[in-house]
Amino acid sequence: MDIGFLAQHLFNGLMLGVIYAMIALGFSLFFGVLDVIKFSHGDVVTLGAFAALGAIAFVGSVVPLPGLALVLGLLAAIAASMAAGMVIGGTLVLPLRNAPPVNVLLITLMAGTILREAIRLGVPNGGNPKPFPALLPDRRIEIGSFSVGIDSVTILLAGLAVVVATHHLVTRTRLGLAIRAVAQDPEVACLSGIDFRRTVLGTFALGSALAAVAGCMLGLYYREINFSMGLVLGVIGFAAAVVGGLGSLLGPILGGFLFAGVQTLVTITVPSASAYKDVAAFAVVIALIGLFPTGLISERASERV
Amino acid sequence: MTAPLLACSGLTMRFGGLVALDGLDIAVERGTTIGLVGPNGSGKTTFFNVLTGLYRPSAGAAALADEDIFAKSPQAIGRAGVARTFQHCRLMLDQSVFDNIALGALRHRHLGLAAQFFRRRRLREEIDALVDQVRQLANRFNPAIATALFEPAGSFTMIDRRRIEICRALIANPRLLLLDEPSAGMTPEETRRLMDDLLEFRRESPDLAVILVEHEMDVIRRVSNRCIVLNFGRKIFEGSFEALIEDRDVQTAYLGSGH
Amino acid sequence: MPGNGLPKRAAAVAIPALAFAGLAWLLGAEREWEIVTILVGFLAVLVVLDRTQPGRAVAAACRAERSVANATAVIATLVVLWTFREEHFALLMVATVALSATACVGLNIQMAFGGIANFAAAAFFTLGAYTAAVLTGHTALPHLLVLAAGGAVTSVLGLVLLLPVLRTRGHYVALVTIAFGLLLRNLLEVNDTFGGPQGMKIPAFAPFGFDFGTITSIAGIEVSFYLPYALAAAALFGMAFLAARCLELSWIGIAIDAVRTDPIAASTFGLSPARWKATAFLIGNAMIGVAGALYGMMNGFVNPNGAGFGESLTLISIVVLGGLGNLWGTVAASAVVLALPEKLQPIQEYRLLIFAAVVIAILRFRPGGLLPRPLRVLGSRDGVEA
Repeated sequence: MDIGFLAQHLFNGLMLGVIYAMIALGFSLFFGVLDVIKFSHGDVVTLGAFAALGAIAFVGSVVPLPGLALVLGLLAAIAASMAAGMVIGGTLVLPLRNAPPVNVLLITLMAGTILREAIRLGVPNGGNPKPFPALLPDRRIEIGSFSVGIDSVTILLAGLAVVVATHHLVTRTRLGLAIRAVAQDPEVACLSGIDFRRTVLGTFALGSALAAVAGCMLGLYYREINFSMGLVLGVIGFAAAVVGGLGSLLGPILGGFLFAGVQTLVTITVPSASAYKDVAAFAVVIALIGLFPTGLISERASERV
Repeated sequence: MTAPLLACSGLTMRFGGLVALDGLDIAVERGTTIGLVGPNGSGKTTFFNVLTGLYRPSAGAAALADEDIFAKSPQAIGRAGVARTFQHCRLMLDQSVFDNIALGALRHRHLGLAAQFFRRRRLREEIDALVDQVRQLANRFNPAIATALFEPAGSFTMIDRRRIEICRALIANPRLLLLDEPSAGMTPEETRRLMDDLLEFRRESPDLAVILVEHEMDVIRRVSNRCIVLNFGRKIFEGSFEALIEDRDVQTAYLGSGH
Repeated sequence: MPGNGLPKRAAAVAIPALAFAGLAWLLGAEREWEIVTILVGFLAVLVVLDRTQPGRAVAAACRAERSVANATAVIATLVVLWTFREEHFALLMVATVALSATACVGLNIQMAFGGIANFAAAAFFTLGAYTAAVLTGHTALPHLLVLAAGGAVTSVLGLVLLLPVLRTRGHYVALVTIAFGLLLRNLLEVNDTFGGPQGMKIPAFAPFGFDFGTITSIAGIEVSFYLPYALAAAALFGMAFLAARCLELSWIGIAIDAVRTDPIAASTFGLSPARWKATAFLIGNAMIGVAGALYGMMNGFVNPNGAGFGESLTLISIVVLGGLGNLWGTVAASAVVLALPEKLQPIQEYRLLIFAAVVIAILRFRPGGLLPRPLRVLGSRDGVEA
């Protein structure tokens, strides 16, 4: 096993980790402000990726400028995901705030199903995997036996930047302050003049925008997207958030990298089992949740009696 | 002299930087009623939550009839004979009154699967017996509850809900009963009736020990044998009601240091 | 309100009879307008029973005369089966609806009573079928025991999976079950031990030597070989129904409801939330597994597709649609959800989309489901008061 091989896997793992972290952050943010799990989140990722695909194809048919196509694709993805996230949050999650948590889980799961099925039925030939265009420069950097495309490096750096920016947004800005205040205690936050509904919708918008970027990164890196990928991403993102500590900010990021790391490790140590890649991922989810059902890092304060 | 039913020593509960209970030493003998008073946030409900195993104390020990409480889960503490009401009603509002009260008695019932599936006749007899018992008990507090045992608990007023909660705790036949502000929101007349009912129940089970959290000094005077005052999680007074109203520390805690 | 016994009993006979007549019409219907008419009629009856004074009185009468209503349902089932005795497709449909309803009774015990969101119901159902395939293929175990084994394997595996999670509160059960469902389907697809994507063959159900696959006539009258399956499926549903009712109307019923609604209050009164949630999950999964085993034997094969997430969502849709905790609601919803897309081909492709939208509407505007769970009334001496 040489260094280049390991470096390649390390790179793959980092990429996967950033994507998982971005999705897990959304789960954690929603849980923080509303104490709910919005399970449609994985499908919002898919929606973002398909919106980008549509916009890129449209721009590509008008002007042959890959850079412009990429930017507009990204914007379309963010707009579509934000809209979906806010509509689901405003019409389905908020009204069910005082219902049993399983009802919220169910209603968002069904909302995700609608997104998934709408993509499958609405996109021409939507039931099959769709190629995602390569829009970034395709030169490669070679260091010894390790070779990596500039496009991949760009994606990874952009992802890391987005994660850092989100952290900054939540810890340093007014919206972030409102989000944290509502997460701490909604009633006190409202008393001190914070608009609860707007803050919650803002959180949904923020989380969904992250999902959109994650969706585009997936498409750009793997060059292929499909309608049902949101389910797996949702499960892993949710699991990463749980293991990292639902409601916390750093936890889900670490959780995302943890899952990516374990998944990569499985691929390295058991190369023959590549067919079992997904099986291993789900087994890890089950094992980690079984071992640490309340998270590795932090647990939210116990319920008031 | 026998050991007290409940003996707590050095009970301390911290939430982060906040000290909710600070080195409490409290002993409760069989057959006594303790009136537990103190300003809001002085740690009364926290004390109950620690005693019922919902919170794990930061330090200290508590024994119920010489058995360590904190070695047990909440359900084991319940089975050992501690029953309580909650400050904010915790009833199953969609379930019938009977279901709610029966919950208190479940720990004395056959809960094996086979007993439910294959011994329906015995089960039915047990249920009928409990229905009678619940009806009698509820009748004592409010006949209107007793005649509507199979209406959802959510269809009752807050006061009746609190009565249902008290019935649920009493039917458990506890050794130690913790009542968390049972008269909150009641008129003086309703409170008086509730206390009459409680006193009557009390006479029938002479060994029962009760800790009653209450703001109404009249109620404390009527029902308690001894009073304990908490302030900032610390016990600042223990003694008779007469001594309580004379005590300067208590007056300071309630009225502020200006007086 | 019908005061004396007779009108009440008449109502308790009329409503189930009407429901089964509608079901029979649906089974025989071939034209689209017929099916739409049945669906609209079904909804109209529901609205009348729910929203009008006489309707509510009739519904209350059905609940009060429960045994009469249930007896009517049994007779009506037999009549429907006999009417369609030679129709392969209709009987297959009845058997499928009955077995799904059996699984959904189990799911009801888990979700409505225990509050445990099981998003892998179809995976466990398929697991029951795979158990049957392995046991009938490799052992000479009597087939009734194979059914029982399907239930046992499913419940034990589910319990091992969930026990660590049941000790805590929260959404983690949902996550674990979703992950398990996806894992099982993936594993069955890539692993050749269980036949890979093609799945496994299962011999016909043959209890006490009566091979269901070879039955072509009963007492000299020609019947479809699906008739015994439909009868067995209906009987299985009857048993699951009875068991669920016994459970609900018992101390355990109160215990399970208590740990669902308020685990804190329940635990201070001596109940262990983990124990009662595990009990609900175990019993529910056993029902799902047995139903799956019989379903596999009826179909003659099992493959990983049945374990898909979409199938699990369909089962959950049935439970939510019918009304969490209402077993007759579950039957009605099974019939509508499973039979309608088969009969109304144009919606087949859109069925998941439609179910999802309907479930969202239910959760948003009528969280109790079409037929909400009635209040439990224990005690036999004087029944309901007031």
